Amino acid sequence: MNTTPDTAARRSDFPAGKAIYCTLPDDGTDKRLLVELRKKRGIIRAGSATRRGIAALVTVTTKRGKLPEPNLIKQVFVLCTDDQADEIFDFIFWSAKIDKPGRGMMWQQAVTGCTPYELPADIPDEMTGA
Amino acid sequence: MSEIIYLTDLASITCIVDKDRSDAVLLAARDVGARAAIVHSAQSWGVRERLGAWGVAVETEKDVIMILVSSDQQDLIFDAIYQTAGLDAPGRGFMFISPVERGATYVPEAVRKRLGVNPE
Repeated sequence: MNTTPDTAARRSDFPAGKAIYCTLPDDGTDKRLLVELRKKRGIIRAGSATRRGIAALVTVTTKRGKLPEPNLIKQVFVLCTDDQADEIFDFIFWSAKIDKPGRGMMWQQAVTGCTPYELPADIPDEMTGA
Repeated sequence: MSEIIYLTDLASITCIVDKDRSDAVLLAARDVGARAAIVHSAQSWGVRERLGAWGVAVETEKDVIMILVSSDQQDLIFDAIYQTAGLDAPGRGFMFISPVERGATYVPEAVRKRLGVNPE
């Protein structure tokens, strides 16, 4: 498929950015983190999804040829601009207590283009309903 | 509060395989050094419907497996997964590697001391 001048021009409106991913235990940390990202850093291009986590594949003792039981985990994903990435990465690290054992891990990948995202002005707050 | 130890030279391997092969793939990845994996279910659609009677040969229930590995392990783990998942056969699935700029996780105190990095 050829790129038309219109789509090429539109692509320039969608700058490169960073995608930050974070795996967390299924204890509500993901929701708290998303609220903090929005309120303290203005990040709304984010979400969380449920995953099966198979942790420490090497160190967990299992029967030969068997995998350890998977854990239900949450994977948080955040999209931000290049210049926000350092700050957001560190914010997530400390806010989600990734430095503590058993809290999960996080990583950052480059994104070659991303669209902006805005929310309607009159939606109620998910915590207060106001 | 100690400093964050950023992990670099990482890659993510994502593999979409038949559900009944995902355990074998994970075991193969573990055997060559993978430390952790994230898995979720997915259902494929689209091309299968155009394959007519041959479409039944394509299993639509897939697992998406994501493994974070160090860059120097990526080829070894990629190859092990490819062979185990049988990705050289049509309709079995596909996989890809993408670069990871940095990562972070809990680093045990003993490792921090050994590296001489901000022990608590």
